[in-house]
Amino acid sequence: MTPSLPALARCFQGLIPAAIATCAADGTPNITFISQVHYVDPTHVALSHQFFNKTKRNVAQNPHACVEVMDPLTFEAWKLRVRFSRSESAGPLFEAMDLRIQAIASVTGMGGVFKLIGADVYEVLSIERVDGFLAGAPAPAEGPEFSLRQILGVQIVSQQINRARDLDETLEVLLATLDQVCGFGQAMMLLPDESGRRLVAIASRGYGEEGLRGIGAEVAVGEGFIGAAAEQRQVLRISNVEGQLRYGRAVRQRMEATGEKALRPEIPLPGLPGVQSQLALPLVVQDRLVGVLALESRDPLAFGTWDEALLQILANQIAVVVDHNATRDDEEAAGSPAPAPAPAPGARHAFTFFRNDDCVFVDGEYLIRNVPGKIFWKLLTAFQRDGRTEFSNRELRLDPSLGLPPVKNNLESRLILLRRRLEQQCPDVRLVPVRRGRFALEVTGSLELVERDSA
Amino acid sequence: MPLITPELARFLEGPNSIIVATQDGQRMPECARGLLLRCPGGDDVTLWLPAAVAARTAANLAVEPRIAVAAELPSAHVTRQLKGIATRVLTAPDQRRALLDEGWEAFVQQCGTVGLPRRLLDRVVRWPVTEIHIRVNAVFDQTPGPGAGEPLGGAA
Repeated sequence: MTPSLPALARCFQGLIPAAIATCAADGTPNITFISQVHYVDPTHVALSHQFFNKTKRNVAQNPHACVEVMDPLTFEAWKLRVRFSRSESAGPLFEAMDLRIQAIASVTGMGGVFKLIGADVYEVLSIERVDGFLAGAPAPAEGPEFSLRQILGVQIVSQQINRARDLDETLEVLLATLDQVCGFGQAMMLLPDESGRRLVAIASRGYGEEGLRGIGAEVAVGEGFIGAAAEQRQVLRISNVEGQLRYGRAVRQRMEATGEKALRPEIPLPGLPGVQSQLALPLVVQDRLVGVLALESRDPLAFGTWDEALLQILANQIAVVVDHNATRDDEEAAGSPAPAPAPAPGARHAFTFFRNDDCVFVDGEYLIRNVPGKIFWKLLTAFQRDGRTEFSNRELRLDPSLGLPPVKNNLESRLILLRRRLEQQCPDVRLVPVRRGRFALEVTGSLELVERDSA
Repeated sequence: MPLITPELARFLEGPNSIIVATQDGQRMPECARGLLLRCPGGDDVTLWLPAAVAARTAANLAVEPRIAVAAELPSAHVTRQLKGIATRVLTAPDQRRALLDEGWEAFVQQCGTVGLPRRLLDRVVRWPVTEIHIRVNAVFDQTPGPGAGEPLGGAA
């Protein structure tokens, strides 16, 4: 039975390089490896046009080509008889293919140098299994890539998100349900900082010790897989990360040998050691980036087109929640701030605030910076000077010294980041929600506060 | 000056991933996966393909002897393409079996370094084998990056 192009989805994940044979006008055949064949629609595939100029010249003269792809799970080989249709240098297909190349280029230090020239679209005329290539019976025909379990999983996540009381609980529920119900064990949520040029991880799951340290980790917009997805506001799914980086490094080596362009050092990948698949889903409301949901796996085929589509729906819902929280009015009950209880016995902690970059250190170790740093310093100062332990979101929003924008200030996400950094770095100082829009600063032990101009 | 230098011969003999292109006389291209290349001397190379996947390649060569062969070292993406004329196509004699087994084992080991497991490769039907003798007339560097596709050794 001849399969449909969508049924060959695994062959298009770039785990095993494909091959394309073409023939020049004078009859000379040409053959080249292709790092990835891209699925376009049920009758078209696309090849990225970066280097293989002879293929490009050949199909301009004789549009027929033969592409061989292989299934990375069964090793079955398939021949696609194709005809060159067109080359695209703009539009959604080009942008999606370009994003992948930009991401690889960014990680391997070739940002802005290693680029997609065109997305060459081929019409698929026929698909043939390469019979006799493998011993044993052919693998049974694959059903649809999705499962009912996944749909139900997403339904559960979606319901739980709507029931969550605040952003903190939303993120907790999201990451837990993605893990327990959908089987996506490693995920993190990053939100933009006040400059909009960096993303800060405010929640993660499945990283063990690395994940704990990862809270507060920053990614520059435009850098690496997550940064590239954020910059382009497009979903980025990378399978076989190691293979893609190997390809990027081969290109880099050639570029270094020619010495044409100055290259930057390779960027170490944050997150899961030995990662093989990444899926970065930008959270976008209108045209504003409000965050990125990033999933990782050591399985090179962890995320398929179906996962991408399904998680995109969830990402859209999360985007609305995050955006809503950035502007939400507090619903606090009026009341006098509670005085500080006598400090519970415990260790003494020295907090230092560096005014030049709004950075707070605890016991000589970096804790937090920027707006969350200023917020924390305000809380510590009020605690120490006035004995205050309870604070409202509203008073923080209205304090001009904190530099929060009047709208879309993401105060709640900054408090989440602060709370989680404290959990990791200094559990003796805690931010504890009291009720909607109010929280308490709880301190075990005693504090020493020092302000300095710079480090 | 020979196109197949000793350095190139060492590279071509692998372990490499090998792909082959021919055409049917009507300029309809055909591709196939190869097993091994050997460089007996001069600008001659010998290529082996599983007979099970070589039928169309062999049929094409009977009407149009031009052939292209690319060899890639999977762990580094270093790639060379040879173009030439098939001078002889035959079923490989049994005496080649040991050579092919040895070459295949080296290839399996190389694939292991890029995460392709032996259990997948073990399924490939590797006998009988079609043997193709080729007189090379051009060599190209196809390693991805600037300069990909440029001729080597004075090839046009």
